[in-house]
Amino acid sequence: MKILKRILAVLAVIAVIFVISYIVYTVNNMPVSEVMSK
Amino acid sequence: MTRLQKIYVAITVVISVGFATLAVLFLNSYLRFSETAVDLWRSIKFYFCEIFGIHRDFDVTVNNYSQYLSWASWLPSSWVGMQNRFVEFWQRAFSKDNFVSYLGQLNLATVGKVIIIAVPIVLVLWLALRQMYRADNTRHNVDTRPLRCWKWISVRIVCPVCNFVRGYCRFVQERRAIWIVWIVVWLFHLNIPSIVFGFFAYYFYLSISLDISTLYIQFCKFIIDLQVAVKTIPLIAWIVLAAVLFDRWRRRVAQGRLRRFEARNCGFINELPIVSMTCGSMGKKKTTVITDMALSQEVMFRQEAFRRLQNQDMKFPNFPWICFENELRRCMEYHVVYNLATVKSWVHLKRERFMRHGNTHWQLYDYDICRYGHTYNDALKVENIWDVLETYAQLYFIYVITSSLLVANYSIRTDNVLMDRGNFPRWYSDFFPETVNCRSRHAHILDFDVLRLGRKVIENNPNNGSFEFGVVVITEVGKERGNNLELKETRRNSDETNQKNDLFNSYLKMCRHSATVDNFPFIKIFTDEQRPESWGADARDLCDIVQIVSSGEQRLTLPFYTIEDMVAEWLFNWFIGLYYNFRYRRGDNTLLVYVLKNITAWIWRRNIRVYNRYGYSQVKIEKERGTMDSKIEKKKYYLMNKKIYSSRFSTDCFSDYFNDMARQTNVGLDDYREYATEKASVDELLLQNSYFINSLYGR
Repeated sequence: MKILKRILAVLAVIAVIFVISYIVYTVNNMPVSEVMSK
Repeated sequence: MTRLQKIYVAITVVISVGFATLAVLFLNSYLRFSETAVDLWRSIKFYFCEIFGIHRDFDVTVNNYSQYLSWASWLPSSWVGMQNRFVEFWQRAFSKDNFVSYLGQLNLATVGKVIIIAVPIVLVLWLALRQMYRADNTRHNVDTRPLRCWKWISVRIVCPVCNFVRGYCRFVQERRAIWIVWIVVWLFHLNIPSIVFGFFAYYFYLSISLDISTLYIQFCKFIIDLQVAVKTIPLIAWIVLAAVLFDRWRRRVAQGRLRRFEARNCGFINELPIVSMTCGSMGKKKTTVITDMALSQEVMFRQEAFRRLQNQDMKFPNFPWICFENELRRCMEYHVVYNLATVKSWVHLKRERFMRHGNTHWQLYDYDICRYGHTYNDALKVENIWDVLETYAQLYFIYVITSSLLVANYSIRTDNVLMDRGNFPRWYSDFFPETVNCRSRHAHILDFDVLRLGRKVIENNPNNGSFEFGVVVITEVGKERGNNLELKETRRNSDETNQKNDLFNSYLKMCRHSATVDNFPFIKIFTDEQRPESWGADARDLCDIVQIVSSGEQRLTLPFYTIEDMVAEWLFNWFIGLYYNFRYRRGDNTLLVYVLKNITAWIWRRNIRVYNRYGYSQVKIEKERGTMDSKIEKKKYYLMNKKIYSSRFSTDCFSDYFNDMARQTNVGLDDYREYATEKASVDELLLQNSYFINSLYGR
């Protein structure tokens, strides 16, 4: 049980890092929107 | 001013000038602040003009974009654009091409960088360990040359620098003005006041105009204003900040869970009758459980007294209670009042004096009876002010008594603090404080004669009849009182005091009479024993039996701690194996072991602190009536480490008896004879002094 909990915790951390970096990558690679003039 | 302080002042001046000079780099933040100040002023004017119907000849500028801060390139200029962008994001996020290109950018270069950095470190560590194990020696406590070098650097450079920095931090901390000015300067640099002013400007505008179509503009302005801070503060600082905030959040969650467990425990204790008996085999934590219950009960008695004091106060809301309390406390100091009976006598005396002289100044502290009345009708009965004063005085006596309410046959430490600023005192009874509470009181020594209504062990014991209220804790009660079988030979009409003629059981049946104030019994008796049958049935039938089924494993209330726990455990196990292997081979001290040991010790100590602070175990309990013929109720009781294991009691509370015996002998385990072979000889068997062996040899 303890080992399973630890494996799940490690997997959860990896998944969170993966998802965040994927979101950042996707946002950064989206075409630039129209720029507001001053 | 010392030389060091002069240096600190010089550094402070340099840093402050540096911070102020940075304003040049953050000029746009200050210009933006001037814009928001104008926005706020116009919004306030707009607010009042609209409320009072005053004509206005100015425009509200809160919905205008900044002229000084650039637009965030990814931010759409309209709400529709934002919606489109949102849809576009999800399409991209779930597109195969995007995912493949993401995986592609997680290229081998990143992995390669990690390998390039990690491999040499691991290799050097491995070689160092190999080298270390190769050279066996017995040079006890001699430092190797690298370690000597490091200690020299540490003493001459690292420690002085650290001490200097620490000293400077203290210097700044003690002078609030310095760090407050620094924080304010940085807030302005990072454009935070503009966000605050912008918020209030929009608040005043929206509350009158109700124009929610401008919400998106405000969202965009907020993002643009926030850009300064986001771009200035480095990623690592954001990560550290997030980690600190996350740690604070989870510690608050853990603290909340501990308090909920304590509340559940209190609920369980309240369900128990006045006398209870906790049973379980050795090591089931029965003494721990009754100690825990007693600690909670002590706090609950004080809370109950406080709650009832408030009720009494409301009966005569204009009575000057503070004067009454002060006089009572003076009487307690001079030992005129020292128990509930003397409290009652004291109030009776005041009443008699009032009846005789009618002096409200001395007896009722100028309470205006004619105006505020002297009776209280609660729709059940009519109470006179003197009856209420008597109850109030007793409750206040129970509440304000500074020593522990525990009376036990073993020592229990309590750390409740009576906070007193000279007015109404308040108890600080938190079992989970942030800091360790150093002020301790201990349980009173239980003189069993005070619990005997019949014969006493000491006939003229000055304590006789003195016990009225409190929490009585008796461990191993069966050994003190015995059961019917053990007392078969004991006679009631014996000349000596014994369990049959001391009327202890009668006291248990009647104890609530002396302890009842305002219809609430301020007495509870917790006992423990291995088996319920060890205590005579007459007394046991009064109790509820709390049978400990199992004491669960250690758990944590701190969420998301699994990985840290795992790292601490792995590192500790790895290092301990390595360290004791090293110690087996070598007697000197090396730099590598020195560094590894200090890192491991830091992580280990942190882990231990977390377990001590947020650890708990769940005790499974079966509760039944003392007659042992009722249905068993299954319950849970929570033992929180911070509460019960912070030096509350000694688990070997009777160890001094055995220590005393052992000290008087000249023999230890090492002196006992060993068997010569796998089979005991006759001489060796006879050395056992066993009934069985002796009977075999007719001894």
